[in-house]
Amino acid sequence: MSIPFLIIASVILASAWAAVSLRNLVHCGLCAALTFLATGTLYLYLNAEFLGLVQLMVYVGAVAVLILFTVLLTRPATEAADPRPTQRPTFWKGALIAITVGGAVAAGLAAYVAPKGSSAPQLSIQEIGRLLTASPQNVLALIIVALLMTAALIGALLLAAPSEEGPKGGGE
Amino acid sequence: MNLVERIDQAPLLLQRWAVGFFPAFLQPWVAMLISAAAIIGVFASLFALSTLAERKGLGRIQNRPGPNRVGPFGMLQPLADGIKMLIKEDIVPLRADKVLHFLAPIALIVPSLLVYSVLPIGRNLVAMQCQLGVLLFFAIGASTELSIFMAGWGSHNKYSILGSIRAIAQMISYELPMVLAAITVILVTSSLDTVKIVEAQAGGFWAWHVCTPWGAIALLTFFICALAESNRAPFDLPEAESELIAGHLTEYSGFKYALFFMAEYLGMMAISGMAITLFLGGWQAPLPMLDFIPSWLWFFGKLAGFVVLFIWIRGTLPRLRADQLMNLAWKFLLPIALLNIGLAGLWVKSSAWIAWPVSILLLVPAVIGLGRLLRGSRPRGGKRIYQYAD
Amino acid sequence: MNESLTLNGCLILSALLFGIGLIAVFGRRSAILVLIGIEFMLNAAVINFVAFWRFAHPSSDGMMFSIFAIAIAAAEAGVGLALVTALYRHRRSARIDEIPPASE
Repeated sequence: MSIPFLIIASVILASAWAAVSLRNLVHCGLCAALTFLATGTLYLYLNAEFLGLVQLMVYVGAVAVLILFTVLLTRPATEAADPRPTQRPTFWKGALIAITVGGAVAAGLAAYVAPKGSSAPQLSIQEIGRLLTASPQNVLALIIVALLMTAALIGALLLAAPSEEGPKGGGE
Repeated sequence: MNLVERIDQAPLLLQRWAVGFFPAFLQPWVAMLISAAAIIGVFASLFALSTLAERKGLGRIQNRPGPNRVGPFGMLQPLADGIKMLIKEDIVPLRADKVLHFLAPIALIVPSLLVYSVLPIGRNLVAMQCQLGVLLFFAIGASTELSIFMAGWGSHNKYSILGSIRAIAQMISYELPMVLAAITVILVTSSLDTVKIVEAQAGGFWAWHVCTPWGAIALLTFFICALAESNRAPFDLPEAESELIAGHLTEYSGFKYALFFMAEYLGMMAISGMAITLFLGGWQAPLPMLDFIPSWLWFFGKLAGFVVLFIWIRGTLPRLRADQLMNLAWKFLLPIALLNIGLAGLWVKSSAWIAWPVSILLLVPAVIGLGRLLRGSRPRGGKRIYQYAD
Repeated sequence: MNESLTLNGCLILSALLFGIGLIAVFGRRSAILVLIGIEFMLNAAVINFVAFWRFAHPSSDGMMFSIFAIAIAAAEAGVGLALVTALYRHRRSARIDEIPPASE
């Protein structure tokens, strides 16, 4: 295993662990953003340039900001003095389930032996564009994803919009 | 190479000469280091010059001379500003989140400098030519929002949090029309490589993308979004002094404030650089006969023009309110940008004779109609009655 | 040989990231952290896809699926967080153990 891969992998795992075990939700959100950043770097290291930049743009630039906004908007009225997450029993029960599942998956995957003779694939952005519009199935998939995202946008707006309760600001 | 070409490629030749001193296995690293140092050096000095230009320019617009004490015509003012920023006391609020408060300026400067690596400053003068240059620019530019959040929340100050929420909402709202305006160029040149986009505009200013119907509207959209992305007037609600003290920058002083300030100007210049690359032909000269002027001089000349435009607009236009800002982005710029993509497709598929009239026929009613729709947020009531003292 | 080791390394990384996502879903009370865990799990799956695309099966299908997976994950995160916001507005708390059943 090469040094860059080890560094990237340790950053991913360390920030992911921090994201799930910190008490302050904003710190969790920022560690999640760091995890997404490190995953984008991993994609760039693995020659998937388009996917790496898309990960940076979508996850770090949009999903992480969304998570942080939601943390800001849903803060509890009183900052309750909870025990730290790693000291709660539910956390370790969850960890037990997760270790079992994750361990089983890891054991299955670690036993995989790759077929020899695969070189680094080169997939240029023009090729991706051509593939996305080449066959009718791909075009259908593209259109369905577009419709899904429009529906998600409208749905999120409707869900998060405040109900009609009195005069709100604006309109003046 | 004759003298003209030598001057044109001077930075590249200098880099090659400097790299030649090192052993072969170190050479790529040294080359990268020299490019990075050159970018930081050049654009940081441009930042200093543009702060001076801003203060003098705004002063003249407001009928006052601007700084004129420190050097001849105030030219050493940036030096004085730098010394002042460095020796100021660095105050951190007691209950601020120390790690976030410290990391925010760094997390802002790094992406702001990183995006310069894909801008072609001159012929063969791009720090990193990659197939996905434009996407890299926008992806890294999107990471700046996180640092604004860190700055606002880490300061543990109501005004900072409010300012950063407004700033992030503004940035993500205006990021969308900006990317859509860039997509029109990508559609026409079918490449995300900034070098290829510049080369596709060769041959004089009539070949630049701004001289097409979709290009003009796209440049206008891109420029308005650039104003909003760098929180410049008239979109500077997040850092307006009369509104929120300094928004997310309230609790910063000294060098950290200088870093934020520098990141704002660097962002301004980077987005101008991208607008020049996409729409104004990059380092190309407007007329083929003017090719003897070095390409990097053309690029910096166009960049200076953009900076002057930014300063001019700051001095002239009043600030937009938060809901006016959002309405402009979502209800005006976004439909126009989407229509523009259609027009760019029309341009590619048909000839100019058909595309120009159809574009104008579609765009003019759209712009006027959407503008009328936006005006609904004005206060109702009769016409204003003005009474003048005689 | 080095490449095969990095492939197995990527796969173990994705399994561990998946496990950490599962911990977030099962072990934390805040709804937002549950959503972060779901995002981690989706990321782990995409890392898996990319690792296989890079080392074992360099066909374009892996890349296509990864792009669509990231798009759908982002849309789902948006809807999920809108749900959390709406929940907070009604219950004043974003904790999943304080949501009363729908029959109340």
